Amino acid sequence: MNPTYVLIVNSDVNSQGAYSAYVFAKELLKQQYKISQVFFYQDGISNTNALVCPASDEINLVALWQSLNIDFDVELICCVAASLRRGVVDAALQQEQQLASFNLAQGFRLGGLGEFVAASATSDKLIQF
Amino acid sequence: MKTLAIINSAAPFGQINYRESLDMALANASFDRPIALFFYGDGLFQIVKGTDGTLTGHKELGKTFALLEMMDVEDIFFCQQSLETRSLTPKHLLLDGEVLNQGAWFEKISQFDQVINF
Repeated sequence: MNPTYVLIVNSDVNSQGAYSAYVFAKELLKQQYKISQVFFYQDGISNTNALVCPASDEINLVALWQSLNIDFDVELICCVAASLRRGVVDAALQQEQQLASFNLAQGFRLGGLGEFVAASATSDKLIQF
Repeated sequence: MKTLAIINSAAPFGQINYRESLDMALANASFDRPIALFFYGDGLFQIVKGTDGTLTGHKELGKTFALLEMMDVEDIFFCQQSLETRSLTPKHLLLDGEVLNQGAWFEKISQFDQVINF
């Protein structure tokens, strides 16, 4: 049986690490490997910000991650503590913390470190970017 | 359950790697997952006794590191060469751990299923 993967993305949306993570994830999925979760942590949180808006001739990695979620139904989980530190929240957290707006991009979901632990502890491979 | 090695090489306070690494360690330990912490390079400065993080506008983490012991995280390793080049010895450090030379260091890390670097 093919090994199962968890990817942890600690790299900023504008870094090579984040793009490499996307390319690697896409190739795994195309080859029908199972990714049980892509977990965004540390500066990787910037990959989940709906307000990221690069110039039109540059790659929009947030949109690429979203397409991966739509095409392959892969779970994109963002660490909630890391997200709060960096100003990325969903509508529920916006209300709870009484913030001006929310900006978690569609296709991503906030989750605790516990979700990462549960997924990675039962996966064959953990790859960090 | 797959085992996990967490490797710390960043000095504290310049970035928050130390803080988010510790969160990661504690989360895994709270699920009783077998983990180990490895400190090398400037990462050793994260656990030097008498450090006052509040001077740099950060939270003091000494007490949070102490939680590791409460959660039975006992596999803690220090790189011998990194200690020597920084004039540190295990008695300068907040955590009890084992000093490994370079060969033993890589041998030990290779025993874990998964690795995360901070």
